[in-house]
Amino acid sequence: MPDGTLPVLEVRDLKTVFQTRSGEVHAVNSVSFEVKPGELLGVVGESGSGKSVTMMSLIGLLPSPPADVKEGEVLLDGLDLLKTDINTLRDIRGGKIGFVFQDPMTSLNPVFSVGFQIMEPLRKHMNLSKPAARKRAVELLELVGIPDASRRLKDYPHQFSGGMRQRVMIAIALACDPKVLIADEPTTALDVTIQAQILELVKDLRQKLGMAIVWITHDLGVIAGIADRVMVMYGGQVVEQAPVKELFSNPQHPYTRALLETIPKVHGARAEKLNVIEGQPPILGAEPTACPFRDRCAFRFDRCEQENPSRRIVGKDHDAACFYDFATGGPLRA
Amino acid sequence: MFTFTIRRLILTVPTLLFISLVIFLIVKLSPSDPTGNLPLTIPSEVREQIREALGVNKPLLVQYLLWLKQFFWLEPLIYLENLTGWDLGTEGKVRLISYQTRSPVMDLIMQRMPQTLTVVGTAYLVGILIALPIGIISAYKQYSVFDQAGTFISMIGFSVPPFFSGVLVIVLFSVIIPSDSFFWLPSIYDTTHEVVDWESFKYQFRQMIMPVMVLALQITAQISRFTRASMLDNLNQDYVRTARAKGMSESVTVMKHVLRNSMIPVVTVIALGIPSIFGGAIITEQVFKVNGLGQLLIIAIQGGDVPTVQTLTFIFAILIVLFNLIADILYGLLDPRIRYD
Repeated sequence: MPDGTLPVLEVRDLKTVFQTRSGEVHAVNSVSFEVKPGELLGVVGESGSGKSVTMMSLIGLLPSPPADVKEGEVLLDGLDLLKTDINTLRDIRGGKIGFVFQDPMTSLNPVFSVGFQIMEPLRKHMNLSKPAARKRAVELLELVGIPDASRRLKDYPHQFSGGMRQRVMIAIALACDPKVLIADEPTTALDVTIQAQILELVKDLRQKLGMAIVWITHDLGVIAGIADRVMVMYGGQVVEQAPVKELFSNPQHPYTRALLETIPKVHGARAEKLNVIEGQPPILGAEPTACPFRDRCAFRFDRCEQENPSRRIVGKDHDAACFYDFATGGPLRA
Repeated sequence: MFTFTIRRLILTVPTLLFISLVIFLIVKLSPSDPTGNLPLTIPSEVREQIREALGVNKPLLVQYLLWLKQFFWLEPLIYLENLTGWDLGTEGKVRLISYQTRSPVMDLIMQRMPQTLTVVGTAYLVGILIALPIGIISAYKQYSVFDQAGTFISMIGFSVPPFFSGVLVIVLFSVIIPSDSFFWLPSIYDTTHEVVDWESFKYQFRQMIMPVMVLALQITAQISRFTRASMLDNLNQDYVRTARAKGMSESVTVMKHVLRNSMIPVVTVIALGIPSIFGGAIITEQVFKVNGLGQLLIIAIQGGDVPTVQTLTFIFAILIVLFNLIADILYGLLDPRIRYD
C-alpha cells in the first residue's frame, strides 16, 4: 500500500466521556491513529473496548448528552472536525466520510424506498437533480452487485435479504465518493457465506475507488483477510498497532497475544475447551492511571499498577502500550 | 389491497346485522315504557291503545324485521327521493317514527347532525393540530421542561372528566368574568344562531370556544401521548443514526425519517377516534346545551324512545366498523411492509 503519503484522516489524543447517572465513564482515552489514502485499517477489540465510540466521536454521531468528546483533534485533510461548525460537519458526514453500520436489518428506514435512501445524500451533498441522482443510484447499486438495479430502486428494505441490505448500506456510504469509509462491524450480523461476499465486495471496491477504509470488527479472521494495518483497542485506548502480518506473527502486547490464542485451532488435537481471556473488560470511571489490562494479564508486574503504559515503538511501523518487553522476555527497563 | 377492501366490506354485512340484532334486543328487553313520560291523567286503556298503535305489542321478530326494512330499504329510498326529486313510490309508507316527537327519526338526526359536526368536529381537528407538535417536541426533547409540562397537561386532560372541566370553564368564563368583558363567553350554545356577517361569525366563534376547549383537551391529551410514545420508539432506531451519518439535518431526520414511521400508529388511532366525533361528546353537548346527536340520544333514552335510540346506536356502530376498515387500509398505505394481498 502507498507509503510516505500524507494521511487522509488523522486522530490525535481523542477523549470521550459519557456522563451517566452512576458517574462518568471514560470510553475513549487518548486515542491516536491515522489512515492513509487507499489503506484499510482494521480495528479490533472485544465489546466495550471503545472501537465504535471512537469512530462515532470522530464525526459527532454520539448523542450529547450523555456523550462528550472532551479533547483531541480529528484532522480530515487538515480540517479539524471537532472544531468545525455543525453544517460543515453534516456536509462531511455522508459526503467525505461514509458510514456502514452493524445491523443492516434495522439501519435502513423501513418506510422509504431504497432508491430514495440512496438518492438522499446525493441530492444533498452533490446537489444532483432527481434524474441525475437516480442514474447515480442505479450505478451504485450495480457497483455493489445488486442485479436488476433500476427496478429495485423502487423496492423497500424489507424486500431485500440481509446481505443485500448491507450492500445497499455500502452503496449509501459510497454515494458521494467518500475519502474515508468507516465500517462498524458490517459483517457481524451476517452469516458466514454472505460475510465472505461482503468482504470480497469491499476489497474489490477499494481497488476501484481507492478510498481509505476503517474496518471495525472483533473477528480476527476477517482482519487477517482484508486489513493492511491493524489497531488493537482495549479499555478505550490503543494497545497495539502494526501491519497485519507483523501483528499476527509477532504480537507485542499481552492482550493481542491472548486474543490470538482464543482463535480455535482447526489442526491438531481436538481441544476440550476453547481458550478464553478470563475476566471482563473494565468500565473506567476515571481516566486510567494504571494499565487497564493488568487484572487479566499474565505478564503483569508491579509497575503495571502504578502507571498507564504509553505506546512505544517496538518495530517498523509497530507500536505497543506495554511495560513487558517480549524481545528480552522481561520487564522493560525504566 | 382492492380485493382486501372488498372482502372486508362484504364481511361487515354479517357483523352489522349481528350488531343491529344485539342493539335491538338490549333496547327492547330493557324495562322501559314508551308511554311512561305521558301525563298521569291518561287512563291505562288509552295507554294500551297507544302501545298497540306504536306496534310495541307485536312479536319481537316482527318488530326487528320491520325495523330492518325501514332502516335499510325505506329510509335510503326516501333519502334518494329527496336528493334527486324522483318518485320511488315511498308515498304513504310508514317511516321510522320517534315515539316521543312523532317525527321521522332520520329527520331528527339530520337536524342534529350539523351542530355535532361543527362543535365536536372542530374540537377533534383543533385537538389533533395541537397534539401532534406537542407529541413530537416532547419526544425529541424528552424530560425537558416542555415535555414535563406536556405530560402534566396530558394527565389533566386524561383524568378530568368533561362534566367537571365543562362546568369549571363555565364558572370561570361566564360567571366570574363580567359579561361586558372581552373575555366573557356565553355558557349556552345557541344552535339557532346563523352566521350572516362578521359580527355573527364572531359570536359563533365565541360560543364555540368553551365546548371546543373542553373536548380538545381530552383529544389533545390522548393523541399527544400517543405521538410522543411512537416518536420515542423510533428516535432510538438505527435508521435514525444512518440518516444522521448521511449528513441529513436534524429537521429532515426528525420530521421526515422519524415522523413518517411514528405516524403509522398515530394515524390509525386518529381514524379510529373519528366515530367518537358523532357519538362520544354526549356529556359535553349536555353541559353546553348543544342540541346535537349526543343530546338527542340522552333525551331518547330518558323517554324510552326505542326507534331513536336504536337507530342512533346503530349508526354509531356502522361508523365504528367503517372507520376500523379505514384505519386498516391507512395502515397498509402508510407502511410498505404491510400487504393485504
